[in-house]
Amino acid sequence: MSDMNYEEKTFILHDIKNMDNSDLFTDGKTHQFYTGNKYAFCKGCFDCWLKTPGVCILRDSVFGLANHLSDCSTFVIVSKLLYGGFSTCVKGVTDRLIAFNLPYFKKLNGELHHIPRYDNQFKMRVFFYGEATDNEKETAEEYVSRIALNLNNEDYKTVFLKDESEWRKIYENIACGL
Amino acid sequence: MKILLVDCSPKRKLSTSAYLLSVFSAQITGEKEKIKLLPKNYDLICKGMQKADAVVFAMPIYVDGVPASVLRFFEYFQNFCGENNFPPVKVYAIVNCGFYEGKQTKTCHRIIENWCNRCGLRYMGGIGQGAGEMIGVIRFVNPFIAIVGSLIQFIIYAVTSAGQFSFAEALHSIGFINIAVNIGLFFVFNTFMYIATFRLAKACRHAQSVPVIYSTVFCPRFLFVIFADLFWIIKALLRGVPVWSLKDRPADRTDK
Repeated sequence: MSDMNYEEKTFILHDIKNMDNSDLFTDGKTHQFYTGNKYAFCKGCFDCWLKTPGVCILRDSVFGLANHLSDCSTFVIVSKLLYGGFSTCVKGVTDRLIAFNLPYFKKLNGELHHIPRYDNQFKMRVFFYGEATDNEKETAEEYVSRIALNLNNEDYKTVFLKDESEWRKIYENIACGL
Repeated sequence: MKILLVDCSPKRKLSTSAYLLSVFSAQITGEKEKIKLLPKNYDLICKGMQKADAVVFAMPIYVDGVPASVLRFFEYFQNFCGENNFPPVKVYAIVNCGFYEGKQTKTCHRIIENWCNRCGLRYMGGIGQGAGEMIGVIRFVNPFIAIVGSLIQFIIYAVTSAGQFSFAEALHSIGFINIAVNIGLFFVFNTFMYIATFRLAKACRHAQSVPVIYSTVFCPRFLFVIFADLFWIIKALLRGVPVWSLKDRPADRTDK
Protein backbone atom coordinates (compact mmCIF):
# COMPACT_ATOMS: atom_id res chain seq x y z
CA MET A 1 0.00 0.00 0.00
CA SER A 2 1.46 3.31 -0.97
CA ASP A 3 0.63 6.84 0.00
CA MET A 4 -3.07 7.01 0.85
CA ASN A 5 -3.30 10.57 -0.36
CA TYR A 6 -5.52 11.24 2.61
CA GLU A 7 -6.69 14.81 2.27
CA GLU A 8 -7.58 15.64 5.82
CA LYS A 9 -5.45 15.96 8.93
CA THR A 10 -5.45 12.92 11.17
CA PHE A 11 -4.19 12.72 14.73
CA ILE A 12 -3.37 9.19 15.88
CA LEU A 13 -2.64 7.96 19.40
CA HIS A 14 -1.54 4.33 19.58
CA ASP A 15 0.21 1.80 21.78
CA ILE A 16 1.59 -0.59 19.15
CA LYS A 17 5.35 -0.81 19.43
CA ASN A 18 7.45 -1.14 16.29
CA MET A 19 4.56 -0.31 14.00
CA ASP A 20 6.18 0.32 10.64
CA ASN A 21 3.66 2.43 8.81
CA SER A 22 6.05 4.82 7.16
CA ASP A 23 4.76 3.69 3.74
CA LEU A 24 1.21 4.74 4.60
CA PHE A 25 1.28 8.38 5.51
CA THR A 26 3.60 10.42 3.40
CA ASP A 27 1.36 13.44 3.01
CA GLY A 28 2.68 15.15 6.14
CA LYS A 29 -0.86 15.78 7.31
CA THR A 30 -0.90 13.00 9.84
CA HIS A 31 0.47 13.26 13.34
CA GLN A 32 1.08 10.00 15.16
CA PHE A 33 2.03 9.56 18.78
CA TYR A 34 3.23 6.31 20.29
CA THR A 35 2.10 6.30 23.92
CA GLY A 36 4.41 3.52 25.11
CA ASN A 37 7.39 5.77 25.88
CA LYS A 38 8.01 7.39 29.23
CA TYR A 39 5.99 10.43 30.22
CA ALA A 40 4.33 11.68 33.41
CA PHE A 41 0.72 10.93 34.27
CA CYS A 42 -1.73 13.75 34.98
CA LYS A 43 -1.50 14.79 38.62
CA GLY A 44 -4.78 16.70 38.72
CA CYS A 45 -3.25 20.15 39.25
CA PHE A 46 -5.60 21.87 36.73
CA ASP A 47 -2.75 24.20 35.73
CA CYS A 48 -3.73 23.50 32.10
CA TRP A 49 -6.97 25.38 32.90
CA LEU A 50 -5.45 28.08 35.10
CA LYS A 51 -1.73 28.79 34.95
CA THR A 52 -1.08 27.93 31.28
CA PRO A 53 -4.60 27.70 29.79
CA GLY A 54 -4.78 25.17 26.98
CA VAL A 55 -1.39 23.58 27.62
CA CYS A 56 -0.33 20.96 30.16
CA ILE A 57 2.34 22.27 32.51
CA LEU A 58 4.41 19.06 32.40
CA ARG A 59 7.19 19.53 29.84
CA ASP A 60 7.66 16.06 28.41
CA SER A 61 6.77 14.28 25.15
CA VAL A 62 3.01 14.75 25.74
CA PHE A 63 3.41 18.52 26.14
CA GLY A 64 1.36 20.45 23.56
CA LEU A 65 -0.33 17.31 22.21
CA ALA A 66 -3.82 18.63 22.99
CA ASN A 67 -3.23 21.31 20.34
CA HIS A 68 -3.60 18.68 17.61
CA LEU A 69 -7.25 18.30 18.52
CA SER A 70 -7.81 21.92 17.56
CA ASP A 71 -7.43 21.38 13.82
CA CYS A 72 -7.53 17.66 13.05
CA SER A 73 -10.43 16.25 11.08
CA THR A 74 -10.09 12.73 12.48
CA PHE A 75 -8.88 11.70 15.91
CA VAL A 76 -7.84 8.05 15.97
CA ILE A 77 -7.07 6.05 19.10
CA VAL A 78 -5.60 2.57 18.82
CA SER A 79 -5.41 0.76 22.13
CA LYS A 80 -5.30 -2.61 23.77
CA LEU A 81 -8.66 -3.17 25.46
CA LEU A 82 -8.08 -3.22 29.19
CA TYR A 83 -11.00 -3.83 31.58
CA GLY A 84 -13.33 -2.09 29.12
CA GLY A 85 -11.16 0.97 28.58
CA PHE A 86 -7.82 2.08 27.17
CA SER A 87 -4.46 0.55 27.99
CA THR A 88 -2.57 2.34 30.76
CA CYS A 89 -0.22 4.17 28.38
CA VAL A 90 -3.02 5.42 26.08
CA LYS A 91 -5.12 6.41 29.10
CA GLY A 92 -2.20 8.36 30.53
CA VAL A 93 -2.05 10.49 27.38
CA THR A 94 -5.84 11.01 27.11
CA ASP A 95 -5.87 12.12 30.77
CA ARG A 96 -3.53 14.91 29.76
CA LEU A 97 -5.69 16.13 26.88
CA ILE A 98 -8.26 17.87 29.12
CA ALA A 99 -6.70 21.20 28.17
CA PHE A 100 -8.80 20.82 25.01
CA ASN A 101 -11.78 21.79 27.16
CA LEU A 102 -12.48 24.89 29.22
CA PRO A 103 -13.18 24.60 32.96
CA TYR A 104 -16.67 26.06 32.42
CA PHE A 105 -19.80 23.94 32.04
CA LYS A 106 -22.71 23.74 29.63
CA LYS A 107 -25.75 21.47 29.54
CA LEU A 108 -25.65 18.73 26.91
CA ASN A 109 -28.05 15.77 26.67
CA GLY A 110 -29.44 16.64 30.09
CA GLU A 111 -26.03 16.57 31.78
CA LEU A 112 -23.32 19.12 32.47
CA HIS A 113 -20.20 18.90 30.32
CA HIS A 114 -17.20 21.11 29.76
CA ILE A 115 -17.26 23.71 27.00
CA PRO A 116 -14.66 22.97 24.26
CA ARG A 117 -11.82 25.48 23.97
CA TYR A 118 -11.84 25.23 20.17
CA ASP A 119 -14.64 25.17 17.60
CA ASN A 120 -13.11 22.23 15.72
CA GLN A 121 -15.49 19.32 15.14
CA PHE A 122 -13.58 16.15 14.37
CA LYS A 123 -14.48 12.53 13.76
CA MET A 124 -13.35 10.11 16.46
CA ARG A 125 -12.42 6.53 15.61
CA VAL A 126 -11.36 4.16 18.36
CA PHE A 127 -9.80 0.78 17.58
CA PHE A 128 -9.49 -1.74 20.40
CA TYR A 129 -7.50 -4.92 20.05
CA GLY A 130 -6.86 -7.92 22.26
CA GLU A 131 -8.92 -10.60 23.94
CA ALA A 132 -11.93 -9.24 25.81
CA THR A 133 -15.14 -10.40 27.44
CA ASP A 134 -18.56 -9.26 26.20
CA ASN A 135 -18.90 -7.07 29.30
CA GLU A 136 -15.58 -5.38 28.56
CA LYS A 137 -16.59 -4.72 24.95
CA GLU A 138 -19.91 -3.29 26.08
CA THR A 139 -18.12 -1.07 28.61
CA ALA A 140 -15.66 0.04 25.93
CA GLU A 141 -18.48 1.16 23.63
CA GLU A 142 -20.11 3.10 26.45
CA TYR A 143 -16.73 4.54 27.41
CA VAL A 144 -16.02 5.86 23.90
CA SER A 145 -19.49 7.40 23.69
CA ARG A 146 -18.84 9.19 27.01
CA ILE A 147 -15.49 10.55 25.83
CA ALA A 148 -17.07 11.70 22.56
CA LEU A 149 -19.76 13.53 24.52
CA ASN A 150 -17.14 15.27 26.64
CA LEU A 151 -15.21 16.28 23.52
CA ASN A 152 -18.42 17.69 22.04
CA ASN A 153 -18.13 15.08 19.32
CA GLU A 154 -21.11 13.52 17.56
CA ASP A 155 -19.32 11.48 14.91
CA TYR A 156 -17.58 8.55 16.62
CA LYS A 157 -17.13 4.82 16.07
CA THR A 158 -15.68 1.95 18.06
CA VAL A 159 -14.07 -0.97 16.24
CA PHE A 160 -12.81 -4.20 17.84
CA LEU A 161 -9.86 -5.97 16.22
CA LYS A 162 -8.67 -9.46 17.01
CA ASP A 163 -5.12 -8.40 17.80
CA GLU A 164 -2.58 -5.71 17.07
CA SER A 165 -1.27 -7.53 13.99
CA GLU A 166 -4.39 -6.30 12.23
CA TRP A 167 -3.27 -2.72 12.54
CA ARG A 168 -3.09 -2.18 8.78
CA LYS A 169 -6.86 -2.58 8.73
CA ILE A 170 -7.01 0.52 10.89
CA TYR A 171 -5.39 2.62 8.20
CA GLU A 172 -7.44 1.06 5.45
CA ASN A 173 -10.53 2.01 7.45
CA ILE A 174 -9.31 5.55 7.94
CA ALA A 175 -8.38 5.93 4.29
CA CYS A 176 -11.82 4.69 3.25
CA GLY A 177 -13.35 7.37 5.44
CA LEU A 178 -14.82 4.96 7.98
CA MET B 1 -13.62 -7.03 60.48
CA LYS B 2 -10.61 -5.58 58.71
CA ILE B 3 -11.09 -2.92 56.08
CA LEU B 4 -8.40 -1.52 53.82
CA LEU B 5 -9.05 2.02 52.59
CA VAL B 6 -7.08 3.00 49.51
CA ASP B 7 -6.86 6.66 48.50
CA CYS B 8 -6.26 6.48 44.74
CA SER B 9 -6.23 10.20 43.99
CA PRO B 10 -3.21 11.31 41.93
CA LYS B 11 -3.28 14.50 44.02
CA ARG B 12 -0.78 14.29 46.85
CA LYS B 13 -2.83 16.27 49.37
CA LEU B 14 -6.29 17.76 50.02
CA SER B 15 -7.96 15.49 47.48
CA THR B 16 -11.72 14.98 47.47
CA SER B 17 -11.15 11.21 47.30
CA ALA B 18 -9.22 11.26 50.60
CA TYR B 19 -11.91 13.45 52.14
CA LEU B 20 -14.75 11.12 51.07
CA LEU B 21 -12.74 8.17 52.35
CA SER B 22 -12.37 9.90 55.75
CA VAL B 23 -16.12 10.61 55.96
CA PHE B 24 -16.81 6.96 55.08
CA SER B 25 -14.14 5.68 57.47
CA ALA B 26 -15.67 7.63 60.37
CA GLN B 27 -18.85 5.60 59.94
CA ILE B 28 -17.33 2.14 60.17
CA THR B 29 -15.90 0.39 63.19
CA GLY B 30 -13.33 -2.36 63.47
CA GLU B 31 -9.81 -2.55 62.20
CA LYS B 32 -9.14 0.03 59.48
CA GLU B 33 -6.03 0.82 57.54
CA LYS B 34 -5.76 3.79 55.21
CA ILE B 35 -3.11 3.85 52.53
CA LYS B 36 -2.20 6.14 49.63
CA LEU B 37 -1.89 4.58 46.19
CA LEU B 38 1.73 5.21 45.23
CA PRO B 39 4.05 2.84 43.32
CA LYS B 40 6.14 2.34 46.48
CA ASN B 41 2.99 1.11 48.30
CA TYR B 42 1.86 -1.41 45.65
CA ASP B 43 3.18 -4.47 47.53
CA LEU B 44 1.83 -3.18 50.82
CA ILE B 45 -1.63 -2.75 49.28
CA CYS B 46 -1.58 -6.18 47.60
CA LYS B 47 -0.56 -7.88 50.85
CA GLY B 48 -3.03 -5.77 52.83
CA MET B 49 -5.81 -6.82 50.45
CA GLN B 50 -4.92 -10.46 51.02
CA LYS B 51 -5.65 -10.11 54.73
CA ALA B 52 -8.61 -7.71 54.49
CA ASP B 53 -12.30 -8.59 54.61
CA ALA B 54 -13.09 -5.66 52.36
CA VAL B 55 -11.19 -3.03 50.37
CA VAL B 56 -12.52 0.42 49.58
CA PHE B 57 -10.97 2.32 46.68
CA ALA B 58 -11.62 6.06 46.47
CA MET B 59 -10.73 7.83 43.24
CA PRO B 60 -11.72 10.64 40.88
CA ILE B 61 -12.73 10.01 37.26
CA TYR B 62 -10.21 11.22 34.72
CA VAL B 63 -11.68 11.58 31.23
CA ASP B 64 -14.61 9.28 32.08
CA GLY B 65 -12.47 6.43 33.36
CA VAL B 66 -10.03 5.27 35.98
CA PRO B 67 -6.94 7.55 36.22
CA ALA B 68 -3.89 6.08 34.45
CA SER B 69 -2.01 5.89 37.77
CA VAL B 70 -4.77 3.61 39.11
CA LEU B 71 -4.83 1.51 35.93
CA ARG B 72 -1.10 0.92 36.37
CA PHE B 73 -1.83 -0.49 39.83
CA PHE B 74 -4.73 -2.57 38.47
CA GLU B 75 -2.34 -4.24 36.00
CA TYR B 76 0.27 -4.76 38.72
CA PHE B 77 -2.36 -6.34 40.96
CA GLN B 78 -3.60 -8.67 38.19
CA ASN B 79 -0.05 -10.01 37.84
CA PHE B 80 0.31 -10.25 41.61
CA CYS B 81 -2.89 -12.24 42.13
CA GLY B 82 -2.03 -14.45 39.14
CA GLU B 83 1.15 -15.49 40.91
CA ASN B 84 -0.43 -15.77 44.37
CA ASN B 85 -3.42 -17.68 45.58
CA PHE B 86 -5.64 -14.68 46.15
CA PRO B 87 -8.93 -14.81 48.12
CA PRO B 88 -12.11 -13.29 46.59
CA VAL B 89 -11.87 -10.06 48.58
CA LYS B 90 -14.86 -7.71 48.58
CA VAL B 91 -14.23 -4.45 46.74
CA TYR B 92 -16.19 -1.23 47.18
CA ALA B 93 -15.47 1.90 45.17
CA ILE B 94 -16.10 5.57 45.96
CA VAL B 95 -15.76 7.42 42.67
CA ASN B 96 -16.18 11.18 42.39
CA CYS B 97 -16.42 13.47 39.39
CA GLY B 98 -16.39 17.24 39.02
CA PHE B 99 -19.63 17.19 37.04
CA TYR B 100 -22.91 17.77 38.86
CA GLU B 101 -24.36 14.35 38.06
CA GLY B 102 -22.98 11.42 40.04
CA LYS B 103 -24.23 9.14 37.24
CA GLN B 104 -21.31 10.30 35.12
CA THR B 105 -19.14 7.90 37.16
CA LYS B 106 -21.08 4.89 35.85
CA THR B 107 -18.53 3.85 33.20
CA CYS B 108 -15.68 4.15 35.70
CA HIS B 109 -17.56 1.82 38.07
CA ARG B 110 -18.02 -0.66 35.21
CA ILE B 111 -14.28 -0.59 34.49
CA ILE B 112 -13.54 -1.29 38.18
CA GLU B 113 -16.07 -4.14 38.10
CA ASN B 114 -14.41 -5.61 34.99
CA TRP B 115 -11.04 -5.44 36.74
CA CYS B 116 -12.51 -7.24 39.78
CA ASN B 117 -13.90 -9.97 37.50
CA ARG B 118 -10.50 -10.42 35.83
CA CYS B 119 -8.77 -10.74 39.22
CA GLY B 120 -11.35 -12.93 40.96
CA LEU B 121 -12.35 -10.15 43.38
CA ARG B 122 -15.95 -9.48 44.40
CA TYR B 123 -17.18 -6.09 43.23
CA MET B 124 -19.73 -4.96 45.81
CA GLY B 125 -20.83 -1.57 44.44
CA GLY B 126 -20.09 1.85 45.86
CA ILE B 127 -20.77 5.54 45.49
CA GLY B 128 -20.84 7.73 42.39
CA GLN B 129 -20.37 11.21 43.81
CA GLY B 130 -21.10 14.18 41.58
CA ALA B 131 -19.82 17.73 42.22
CA GLY B 132 -16.72 16.19 43.78
CA GLU B 133 -14.61 19.33 43.41
CA MET B 134 -17.33 21.42 45.03
CA ILE B 135 -17.76 18.94 47.91
CA GLY B 136 -14.00 19.13 48.41
CA VAL B 137 -14.01 22.94 48.41
CA ILE B 138 -17.04 23.39 50.67
CA ARG B 139 -15.13 21.85 53.59
CA PHE B 140 -12.87 24.92 53.51
CA VAL B 141 -15.22 27.65 52.27
CA ASN B 142 -17.90 27.49 54.98
CA PRO B 143 -15.44 27.46 57.93
CA PHE B 144 -13.45 30.21 56.19
CA ILE B 145 -16.51 32.49 55.76
CA ALA B 146 -17.59 31.78 59.34
CA ILE B 147 -14.18 32.65 60.82
CA VAL B 148 -13.38 35.64 58.59
CA GLY B 149 -16.91 37.06 58.92
CA SER B 150 -16.77 36.87 62.70
CA LEU B 151 -13.28 38.35 62.76
CA ILE B 152 -14.36 41.33 60.64
CA GLN B 153 -17.36 41.95 62.89
CA PHE B 154 -15.15 41.74 65.96
CA ILE B 155 -12.63 44.23 64.51
CA ILE B 156 -15.45 46.64 63.60
CA TYR B 157 -16.72 46.41 67.17
CA ALA B 158 -13.23 46.91 68.66
CA VAL B 159 -12.65 50.01 66.49
CA THR B 160 -16.07 51.56 67.06
CA SER B 161 -16.28 50.85 70.79
CA ALA B 162 -13.76 53.70 71.27
CA GLY B 163 -12.31 52.69 74.60
CA GLN B 164 -15.53 51.36 76.10
CA PHE B 165 -14.63 47.74 75.38
CA SER B 166 -16.87 45.18 77.01
CA PHE B 167 -16.08 41.48 76.85
CA ALA B 168 -19.76 40.48 76.72
CA GLU B 169 -20.48 42.86 73.86
CA ALA B 170 -17.33 41.72 72.04
CA LEU B 171 -18.58 38.15 72.25
CA HIS B 172 -21.95 39.27 70.98
CA SER B 173 -20.34 41.18 68.12
CA ILE B 174 -18.75 38.02 66.73
CA GLY B 175 -22.08 37.29 65.08
CA PHE B 176 -23.17 33.80 65.95
CA ILE B 177 -25.79 33.96 63.22
CA ASN B 178 -23.00 34.00 60.63
CA ILE B 179 -21.37 30.95 62.25
CA ALA B 180 -24.69 29.09 62.59
CA VAL B 181 -25.64 29.83 58.96
CA ASN B 182 -22.31 28.52 57.69
CA ILE B 183 -22.45 25.37 59.80
CA GLY B 184 -26.02 24.84 58.58
CA LEU B 185 -25.08 25.42 54.93
CA PHE B 186 -22.14 23.05 55.26
CA PHE B 187 -24.41 20.22 56.37
CA VAL B 188 -27.14 21.08 53.85
CA PHE B 189 -24.72 21.07 50.88
CA ASN B 190 -23.31 17.73 52.03
CA THR B 191 -26.66 16.04 52.81
CA PHE B 192 -26.64 13.58 49.89
CA MET B 193 -22.97 12.78 50.40
CA TYR B 194 -23.60 11.92 54.08
CA ILE B 195 -26.57 9.74 53.14
CA ALA B 196 -24.53 7.95 50.45
CA THR B 197 -21.54 7.28 52.73
CA PHE B 198 -23.91 6.17 55.51
CA ARG B 199 -25.60 3.66 53.20
CA LEU B 200 -22.29 2.36 51.90
CA ALA B 201 -20.82 2.07 55.41
CA LYS B 202 -23.89 0.11 56.48
CA ALA B 203 -23.52 -2.28 53.53
CA CYS B 204 -19.81 -2.65 54.22
CA ARG B 205 -20.41 -3.42 57.94
CA HIS B 206 -22.89 -6.14 56.95
CA ALA B 207 -20.67 -7.43 54.12
CA GLN B 208 -23.49 -6.73 51.65
CA SER B 209 -23.34 -5.53 48.08
CA VAL B 210 -25.14 -2.35 46.99
CA PRO B 211 -26.09 -0.95 43.60
CA VAL B 212 -23.94 2.12 42.95
CA ILE B 213 -25.35 4.97 45.05
CA TYR B 214 -25.34 8.13 42.93
CA SER B 215 -25.07 11.34 44.86
CA THR B 216 -24.38 15.02 44.31
CA VAL B 217 -24.24 18.31 46.18
CA PHE B 218 -27.52 19.54 47.71
CA CYS B 219 -28.16 22.57 45.50
CA PRO B 220 -29.90 23.12 42.17
CA ARG B 221 -27.90 22.57 39.00
CA PHE B 222 -28.06 26.23 37.86
CA LEU B 223 -26.58 27.34 41.20
CA PHE B 224 -23.87 24.70 40.88
CA VAL B 225 -22.89 26.15 37.47
CA ILE B 226 -22.72 29.67 38.95
CA PHE B 227 -20.62 28.46 41.92
CA ALA B 228 -18.33 26.45 39.63
CA ASP B 229 -17.73 29.41 37.28
CA LEU B 230 -17.12 31.70 40.25
CA PHE B 231 -14.69 29.14 41.69
CA TRP B 232 -12.49 29.25 38.58
CA ILE B 233 -12.68 33.05 38.37
CA ILE B 234 -11.70 33.47 42.04
CA LYS B 235 -8.95 30.85 41.68
CA ALA B 236 -7.57 32.71 38.65
CA LEU B 237 -7.65 36.04 40.51
CA LEU B 238 -5.91 34.54 43.55
CA ARG B 239 -3.15 33.20 41.34
CA GLY B 240 -2.78 36.48 39.46
CA VAL B 241 -4.03 35.00 36.18
CA PRO B 242 -6.19 37.32 34.02
CA VAL B 243 -9.69 35.81 33.99
CA TRP B 244 -10.12 36.27 30.23
CA SER B 245 -6.95 34.24 29.58
CA LEU B 246 -8.68 31.07 30.81
CA LYS B 247 -10.30 30.95 27.36
CA ASP B 248 -6.95 31.24 25.56
CA ARG B 249 -6.44 29.20 22.41
CA PRO B 250 -2.69 28.52 22.33
CA ALA B 251 -3.00 26.18 19.33
CA ASP B 252 -4.11 29.12 17.19
CA ARG B 253 -0.78 30.85 17.67
CA THR B 254 1.61 27.88 17.78
CA ASP B 255 3.07 25.99 14.89
CA LYS B 256 2.29 22.35 15.56
